[in-house]
Amino acid sequence: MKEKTITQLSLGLLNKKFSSEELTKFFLDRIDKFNPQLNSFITVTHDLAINQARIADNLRKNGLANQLTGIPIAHKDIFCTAGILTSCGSKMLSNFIAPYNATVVEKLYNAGMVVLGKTNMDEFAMGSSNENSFYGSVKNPWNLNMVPGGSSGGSAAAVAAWLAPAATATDTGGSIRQPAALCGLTGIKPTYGLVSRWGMIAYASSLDQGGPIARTAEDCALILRAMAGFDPLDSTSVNYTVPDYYSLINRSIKGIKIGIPKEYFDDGLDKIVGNTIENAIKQYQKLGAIIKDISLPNSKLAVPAYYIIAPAECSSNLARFDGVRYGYRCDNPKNLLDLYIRSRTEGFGNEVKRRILLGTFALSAGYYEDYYLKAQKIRKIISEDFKKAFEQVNLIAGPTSPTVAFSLGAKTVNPISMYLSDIYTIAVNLAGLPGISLPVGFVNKLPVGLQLIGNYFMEDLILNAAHCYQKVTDWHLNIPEEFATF
Amino acid sequence: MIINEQIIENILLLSRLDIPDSDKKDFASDISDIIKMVSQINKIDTSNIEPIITYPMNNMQRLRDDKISEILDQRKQCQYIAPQVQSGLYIVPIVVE
Repeated sequence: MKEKTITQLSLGLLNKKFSSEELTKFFLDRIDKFNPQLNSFITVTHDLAINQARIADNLRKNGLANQLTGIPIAHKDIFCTAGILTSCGSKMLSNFIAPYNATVVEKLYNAGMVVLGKTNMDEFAMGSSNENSFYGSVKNPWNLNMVPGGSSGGSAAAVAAWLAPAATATDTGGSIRQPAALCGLTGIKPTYGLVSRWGMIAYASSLDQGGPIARTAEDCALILRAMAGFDPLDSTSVNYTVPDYYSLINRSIKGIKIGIPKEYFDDGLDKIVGNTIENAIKQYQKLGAIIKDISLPNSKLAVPAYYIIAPAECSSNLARFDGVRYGYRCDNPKNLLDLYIRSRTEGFGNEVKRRILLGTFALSAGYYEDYYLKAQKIRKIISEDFKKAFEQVNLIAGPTSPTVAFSLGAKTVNPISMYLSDIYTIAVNLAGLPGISLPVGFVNKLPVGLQLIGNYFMEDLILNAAHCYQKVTDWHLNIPEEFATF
Repeated sequence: MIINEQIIENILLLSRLDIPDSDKKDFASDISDIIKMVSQINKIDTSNIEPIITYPMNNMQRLRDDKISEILDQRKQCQYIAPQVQSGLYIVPIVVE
């Protein structure tokens, strides 16, 4: 099969080159063959996928297909899937069969997409390397000794190795964009409120946002169009008419202004990664964009503010896992307190415990004003920086990650060095803005991602700009050699 | 601020968590380092800044109409995955003797 994008696969289905059932079997076979090396899936839904593919073929036969009908997809194991294990990468939920579908799962099912399975992730989406999963680390398909990024590392590794044409993911501080960058893919984190969080297990509710990871901006546009939209079940869902991102993707970007924040090119950025990003910016200049130097002066405060706000929200959200109504329960509890403490102690991994403790501390009596309230004020300052920047430019460009993929185990002993992996992505979540990562080259045979940030609800422009770059380059079409046999 | 083992003990209880004694020193040290890192924000004057309290765009959160929206009884569906259930009730160790 020579097709490498959803757009191409969709054409193959339309021209009856193959059926959805054949396409689904192709991906299930690849998962069976390659997943043991990568550990990118927690659950593979063989029977369900074939059944859904047959339904999709029937829809097509009856003239009811759209571009996504019959296209397989994998879901990050943070999205509730009715009747299927939804573990969130945790022992705590290793017996949790979700009683309902997340809105995102439901919407993509209604669009005719076929569920291949559930992808591995850092436990409760807390991590930047996918080494915090109860189900073991995920490997980067470009180099099996390297991390794929996190927390959506399973989604990114699966798409990079072409075990799935696309996958859903979530982004609280960079968890769509950073793994997309480290695995050579395109991943978009939408404006907060654009994609429903109903049925998406909460980590930090004011920052969490779902989105797709795929090979191309075109594919992301197709999936985001189907994922997005108002949901009365999510109180933070924004009532906004979703544009047809796909039909808007081919506009010229001549004359659009792209701001380059000097703070994103500091000492922390790997020099060769920096050069690769500068080359991508030059390509945008050739495409007619106007490049402008800008400043986001409070960028350095994003990581500190995030590591107060996110743990605070996590300590509150994860209080629900108490061993009473669902999830893991310890053996032979002596009393109710013992049941709570041992169920949580045995059910959560170390990084989750660390963030719960940090959040509990930041919200506790005597510290709330110095930490949590202060961090929320810093968040306002960071949002204002972006607001001022968007008065001068249409988009902001810079690196997604300060380095290419790093070795497994390299940052596990030092939490702060791990947290700094997301130094260029976190501010976007604090401000609730949309951002994309797209592949723009390789350093030491490992992919480099460019981040484009837009103003609220400017996903159409972000996808448009990413697509214009991908029309004149082919970084997004590379598949790691080891997985390029079909 | 230094997070010592006594503070760790206190927040462990508040969090309904425990960690082995042998790991407490490492946890205290990691959390102290993180608190030191996040304390950078204290150098910034925020006296005239309104905090973001709701969510990023600071809109008011929408309230739904005061009407019953779920008509199906989902007790069975939800209790199917519970660790211990009896006669439609969740079972926990005895709270009052």
